Amino acid sequence: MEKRRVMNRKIGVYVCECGPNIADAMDIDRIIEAVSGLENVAVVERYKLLCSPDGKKYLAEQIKKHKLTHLVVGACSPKQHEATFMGVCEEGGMNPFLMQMANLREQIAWITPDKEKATERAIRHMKAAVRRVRYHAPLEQKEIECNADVLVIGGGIAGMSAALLLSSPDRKVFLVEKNTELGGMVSRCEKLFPDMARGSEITESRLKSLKEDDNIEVLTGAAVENVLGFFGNFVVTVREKESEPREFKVGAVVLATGADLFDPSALAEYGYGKIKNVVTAPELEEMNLKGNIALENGKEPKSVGIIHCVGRKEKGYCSEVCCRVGIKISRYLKEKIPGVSITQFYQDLCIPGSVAQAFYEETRNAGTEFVCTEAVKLSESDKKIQIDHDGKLDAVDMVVLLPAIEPAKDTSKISELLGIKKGKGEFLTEEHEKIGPVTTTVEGVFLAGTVSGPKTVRDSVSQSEAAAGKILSSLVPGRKLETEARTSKISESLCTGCRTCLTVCCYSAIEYDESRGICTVNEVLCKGCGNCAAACPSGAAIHQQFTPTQIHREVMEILR
Amino acid sequence: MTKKQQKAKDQVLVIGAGMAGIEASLTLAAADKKVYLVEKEPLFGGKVIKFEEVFANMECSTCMAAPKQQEVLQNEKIELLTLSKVKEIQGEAGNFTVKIGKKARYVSLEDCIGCNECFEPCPVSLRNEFEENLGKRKAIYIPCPGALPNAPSIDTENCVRFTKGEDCQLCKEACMFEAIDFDQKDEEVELNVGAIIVATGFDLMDSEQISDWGYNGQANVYTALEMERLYASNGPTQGKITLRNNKEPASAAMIHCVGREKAGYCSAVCCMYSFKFIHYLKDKLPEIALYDFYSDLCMPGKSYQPFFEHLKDKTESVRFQDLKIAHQNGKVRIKYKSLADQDKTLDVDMVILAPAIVPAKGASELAGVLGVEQDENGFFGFQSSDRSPEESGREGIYLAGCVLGPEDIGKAIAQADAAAGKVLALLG
Amino acid sequence: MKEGHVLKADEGASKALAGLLKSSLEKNIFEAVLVPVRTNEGYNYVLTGNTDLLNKAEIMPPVMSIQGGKVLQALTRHGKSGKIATVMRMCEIRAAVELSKLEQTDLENVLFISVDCNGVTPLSDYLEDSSSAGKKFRPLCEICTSFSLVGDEQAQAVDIHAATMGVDKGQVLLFPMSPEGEGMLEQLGIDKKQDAGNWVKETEKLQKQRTAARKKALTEIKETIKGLNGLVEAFSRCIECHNCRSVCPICYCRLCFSDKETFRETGGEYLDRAQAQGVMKCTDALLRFHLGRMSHMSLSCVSCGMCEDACPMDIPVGQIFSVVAERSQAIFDYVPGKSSDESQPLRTFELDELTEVEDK
Repeated sequence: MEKRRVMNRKIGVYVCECGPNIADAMDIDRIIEAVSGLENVAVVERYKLLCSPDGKKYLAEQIKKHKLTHLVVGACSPKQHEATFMGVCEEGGMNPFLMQMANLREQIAWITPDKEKATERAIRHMKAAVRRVRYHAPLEQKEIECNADVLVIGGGIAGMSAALLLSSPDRKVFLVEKNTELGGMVSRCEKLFPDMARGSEITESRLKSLKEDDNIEVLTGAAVENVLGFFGNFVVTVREKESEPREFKVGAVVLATGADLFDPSALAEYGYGKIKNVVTAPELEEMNLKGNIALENGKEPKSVGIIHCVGRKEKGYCSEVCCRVGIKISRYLKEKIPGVSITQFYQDLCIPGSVAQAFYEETRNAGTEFVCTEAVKLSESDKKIQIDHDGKLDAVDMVVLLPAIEPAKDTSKISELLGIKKGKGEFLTEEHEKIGPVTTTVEGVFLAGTVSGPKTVRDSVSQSEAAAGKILSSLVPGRKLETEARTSKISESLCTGCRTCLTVCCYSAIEYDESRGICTVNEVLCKGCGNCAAACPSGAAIHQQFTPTQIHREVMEILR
Repeated sequence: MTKKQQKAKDQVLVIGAGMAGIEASLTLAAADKKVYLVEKEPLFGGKVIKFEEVFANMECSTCMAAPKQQEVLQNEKIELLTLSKVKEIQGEAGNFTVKIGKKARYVSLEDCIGCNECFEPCPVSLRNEFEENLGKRKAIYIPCPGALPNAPSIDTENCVRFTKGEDCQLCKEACMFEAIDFDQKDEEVELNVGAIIVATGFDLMDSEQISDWGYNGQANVYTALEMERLYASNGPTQGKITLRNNKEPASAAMIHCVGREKAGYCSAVCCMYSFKFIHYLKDKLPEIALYDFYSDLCMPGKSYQPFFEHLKDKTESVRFQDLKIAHQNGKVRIKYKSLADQDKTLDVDMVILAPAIVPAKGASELAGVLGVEQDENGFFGFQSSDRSPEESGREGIYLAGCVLGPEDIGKAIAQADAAAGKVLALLG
Repeated sequence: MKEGHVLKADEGASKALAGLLKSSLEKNIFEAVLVPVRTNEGYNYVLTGNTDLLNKAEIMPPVMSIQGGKVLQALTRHGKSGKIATVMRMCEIRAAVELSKLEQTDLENVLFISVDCNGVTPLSDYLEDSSSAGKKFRPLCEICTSFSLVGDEQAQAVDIHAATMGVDKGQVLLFPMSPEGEGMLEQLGIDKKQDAGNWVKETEKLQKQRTAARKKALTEIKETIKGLNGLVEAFSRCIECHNCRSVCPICYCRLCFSDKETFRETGGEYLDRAQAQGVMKCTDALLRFHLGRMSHMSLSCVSCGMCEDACPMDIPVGQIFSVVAERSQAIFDYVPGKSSDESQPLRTFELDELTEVEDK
């Protein structure tokens, strides 16, 4: 069988001159001569510029004329023109994966002026490509049906914004919230910085839109119990309190479950839970919402200390929003308790962006004192709270602590179900800190808001709308999903079930089949990174475009 | 819907081809929209392609940007218009008519293969703005190695054919592909689009405005972008850190918050890139003594402070009030007041300034053309918490990136996708 | 290890340990035991709940015809067994633990009893002359440093260690090394304790001798395989029977890389190669097989010496592999089979692994 296949191969080899780039840098005729004698090579030619419209036409015609089964192109970097020549293969009626490029330009012509060395090296590269391409398989790009509906987990500002932007008559959105009410953190703030807009109005207007939207179904008091499937075809089991669990078939999941606050009672220096009238920012927000900012004895505080960076050292990161929250709290206090004296104690004032500094300066000029201090220690003294800051002492009636933002405790289960790993600060990890802030390595699962790290309301909204944007773009009702053709696969008979591949797959594309004791690759999720093939101790996992045979032939020829 | 409106619904204009513009274009193209990506420079990639590495993972910046740029160039749905500016906009959301002024490149993008042979014979040599004037270029030029599209353009303000009317043909004669065409003309292109995304980015505060920080383009005081080009392996010195007198610095100070008082806001990213410079400098000059002068350390988010913690032992961090810079015997003298109100002086070989981030040049003009408001700092959009950051105030026009305020790349990319999402929801 | 529990051994250690296992079967502590048993042809591991059969058990047979790790792989690969106990040498236990890291053995229900081991006799010597038992030993056994609970290579998986070296005749000292081991001794009522000072002295003395001998022997072997010529010379007798691989407990792959299609080139490819190189050895697989096997398993090699015992051409393959194994294990500070918590170096993915490279 194998023997016959080898004899039927007809490899066409084409060297692009790339103008003077390749032609002047090496002896192309010698290269042609060296390659012509190789097994299965049917034709070897040179051409001025293969990527030009004429060049592409020429190549396609050559494929048809010589009935070529495989193609080798010696030219520039595959990054530049691999897609181009794959297109040419399709034009010529040849499977595009039966083509191999040798980079004669960036890897040879452009790095050595020595023509002799360049020619020698080019011969190796071309021969290696020829040797290799014979073992390419005609891979097929698949298309699968997908579901355009979306499940949003978390009904705070991020979850609500995502749901609203996503919903349309041909796309249903299911919004799952663990509490009985939507709104999250924002609904628990009277106002938001910097414009001091009312938090409740912001959430209420979204709530109204949600209720009026027939395409959005809201489930409160609900929890996600299980997630199966993959991008385009998830099955999510959700249980509302005291109901039977329901299954939702969706194409994507947006995780917007928010964050928790650091518990200051862990730190003795703040006396939280021990010293009277030491409260956290959310507790002050609650008092403020009820219209009653008061001490434990019911009286109004005459002096307040606001302590920033609580838990910053322990967590090792800056929670971004607390400085602005502290400044906002000053404004609440000044508004509700005229004449109150306020001092803020901070390590670094984090007020980035075009309006935060003005927000701070106005508050400071209206009579809030800001003190830069490394360490703060609170103690009780004479019915007041004494604040020791770097050796200096101040006494106040009430202290508001601004605690660090930390990952929500009950997100662990859902993140495990979805296959999203924890990263910096133990928050869930986005795909890429800079160019992938809302996607994750699990295709079809998106992160929005503080679930992936501390951030402002504005940025949470941006991220939720970004997740919506990505979904609107990639999951179009009625359009099939194209999958990567150059994937890895695991041989059933060779796999010993050691599960090393599972530990290195970043895309949750590998599953362990307990009944058979082997691992399998999900072709839809596989991105063809090859980690599993590299890691497999038994050689059961291979990358279909980088099989051991292909690599062996290529390397043997290069090293000859 | 008229045929014109139908067509407009499937077309979107993105102004600015930096990281945000690229991301928005790719997301829109994946949704089958035709995207016109308009860029005023002859190359695209924005500011990010000027950096060698980005914080906090110190990833190679071009390695991060180049695959996205390639996707844009190879995507049939995206038409990149370089050397182009938006001149006029009429209409409304769902149906805008846009007039684009497209400057001639004088080089055919189809025929040119980027071999660079045409530069050598050009008789005109001048400072290269892309290299922050640290290097030179010709009148026909590619701004830097690796620039995309990989084809030169002719700078009509310096090419003798245009400035002196001479019939110099040296570049054309050197081209083996007949790609140079002096007959190309500036064009006006009219487009019909359903929505517009503005991603025009930022510039650093003008050097004139920071002259009181010792910057004069001659002494060893550098701006952040100059530092980036010095360190860049495709830069004017191939990454060698040398001062203007060709010597290597034995000491360097990073000054944060330059122009902050004048601007009235904190530019969000300068502390982080100043820390990045610690890494740059120690990498090339392990023995160099480093100092960071700052008023507050701004390193928000889960990964920025750990980045600083990792690097802080390599520098001395100094909190300052009132800083003045003078030049003294070839060194740079920093006079400052510490937090404890003590007057101090420090002499260093090199100073790197972190100037405030301001809206890109031409932003005001563009705001006028688009009919959108700017805030008192010139940034677009609204800072209120009840509006999405991408809203411009005009329906159908959305914002992404530093056009709406100083921020890091991660925020810009999220806004780009959010803006694309709003466009897709609008146009269907 | 100051004291050990006393086990009476009037008829010798093997009978005493067999008796221990009988008692534990009778008391239903285990469902079965895995022990070597003397048969007509030789010694085989059997899995049995039959206490009578245990009369034939030879707990420390003079030869090792199959590595205990391999036996456990066959038994527990597809799902755990009920509770079983087994008496094995340290190298066999370590191999079993090493395999558990690759999900090839499931040791949850296996209770390990390790025994002081003097070494085993090479099979060919034993077949020729059975009186060589206990007199002639595998070269690797002679330099083995993991013969008891000494040194770095102690397996933490051991539940009970049976000490015989430096112990009074008529006795075996048992050291419980885990809660399961303790539980078993308690249930069997083996609670009389005795000072183990002598045993400690003996084993430490032997460890010192062995360590020096090992260093010397491996250094000598290393000299013989220096350079490509040395390696070719050392394996020149190899007939590519692959016995060494077949008996190795660590080699568990369904299909060895050397048998895969990867290296099966076409006639044309071979001829091209011969012409380009001037000459091509046929077959070209010999060194590739050994070097490949070395790179695949040397991090897990426990120096049991099965490979050398099985080699029909008397190639010191176990010693050669041990040289490489020692060095590669040292690079990662890794002791194979010591602890099931210690993951194999090249199989473990760490997010922060390459930061030193970035920092440079």
